[in-house]
Amino acid sequence: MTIPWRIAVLVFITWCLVAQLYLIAVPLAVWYLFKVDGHELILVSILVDGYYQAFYEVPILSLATIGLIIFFDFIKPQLLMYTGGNEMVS
Amino acid sequence: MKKYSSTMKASYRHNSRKPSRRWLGIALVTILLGILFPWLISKISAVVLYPFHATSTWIKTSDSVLPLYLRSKSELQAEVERLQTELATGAAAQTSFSRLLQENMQLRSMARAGGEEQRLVARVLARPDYLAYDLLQIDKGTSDGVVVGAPVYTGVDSIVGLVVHATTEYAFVDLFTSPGFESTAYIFGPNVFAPIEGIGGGVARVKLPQGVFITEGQLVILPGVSSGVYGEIVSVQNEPTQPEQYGYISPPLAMNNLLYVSVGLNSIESRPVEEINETVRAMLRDSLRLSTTTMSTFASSSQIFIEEAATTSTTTAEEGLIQIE
Repeated sequence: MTIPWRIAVLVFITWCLVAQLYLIAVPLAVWYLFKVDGHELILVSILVDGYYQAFYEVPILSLATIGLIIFFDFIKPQLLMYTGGNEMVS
Repeated sequence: MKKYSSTMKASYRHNSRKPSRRWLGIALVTILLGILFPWLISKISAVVLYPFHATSTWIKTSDSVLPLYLRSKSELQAEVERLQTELATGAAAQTSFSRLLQENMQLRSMARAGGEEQRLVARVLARPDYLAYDLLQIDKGTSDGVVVGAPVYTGVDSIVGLVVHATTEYAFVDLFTSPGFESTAYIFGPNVFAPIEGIGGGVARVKLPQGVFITEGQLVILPGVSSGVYGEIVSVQNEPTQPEQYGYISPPLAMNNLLYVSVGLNSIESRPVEEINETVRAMLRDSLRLSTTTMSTFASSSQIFIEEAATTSTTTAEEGLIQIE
């Protein structure tokens, strides 16, 4: 996924979270994490938590995003396959 | 070789772990700062996410073409769902309403049906399906005013039977189609009286001599009961070699359709001839007895009668003389 596409998807996810369209944002974020590292989602989730003033209590979205990133970081190497030319695909 | 090293599993792991830990550290520190200074991160978030907030608000509230289109589509979908829910709820409510209305009309018509005769409405608890045939159980008993011998009606004036047993809480109604029941019926059409007898199975029959024209559909009433329409002739058995013919009668309403019946509060049970004779004689004696007349009033009445007769005869004589002259 190229950089412009990553930015576009990230902006759209952010907008969905602000507009409270969680049914769109969550599957898109999962797909995004699967395709790329997605560490920038932590920044987005921190900002959204701040937008909803979740830091006065528990920033659940940020913590969930960190948990998801760690989970995908762990699971992605298990899903890698090598082709005959020793190329890695996922 | 270069490609191999960059795509090997080991090299991937080597390159991907370190940035992940760095990101994780930065994220945790940022979250910690946010918890320590929530107002600060809220202000920063509000500023950074303002374009997203503005866009979202624009789509939700603007009257421009695109937001209006998007909003109207989603609103229409929500409206359709809401209307579908209302329709389902309304259909159920309409069914209940119709049932209650019909029941109310039925009860009202039955309560008013008797006219001068007082009636009460009773629900049928058991029908010939569950009881011996030609027997009904109703939920009103002697505590409600039901007496043995009271007529039982369906609808306005269709009499179906008589109360034969009544407890305080319920009563049994013997239908006129019970075997052994005998009475006198009047048949509209030939306009004749005929004996009617129950033969069971929900059917009664009238017996008539040959030559009396009866046909299906003729109405049969029980004259012993006011407004006592029993039913109509549904079949005629007429064999020319026999001295009599039979008309079979069934009630207008099937027993399985009976939900409510109305019960007359007065018994119409037949009484012995001796009892009727005694009652009539007693009434005649009472009506002819001179209980309030004394001898003096009788004498004075006689004197007045004599004087009036003399006056009348004098007047008649004078009128005769005038006519002769």
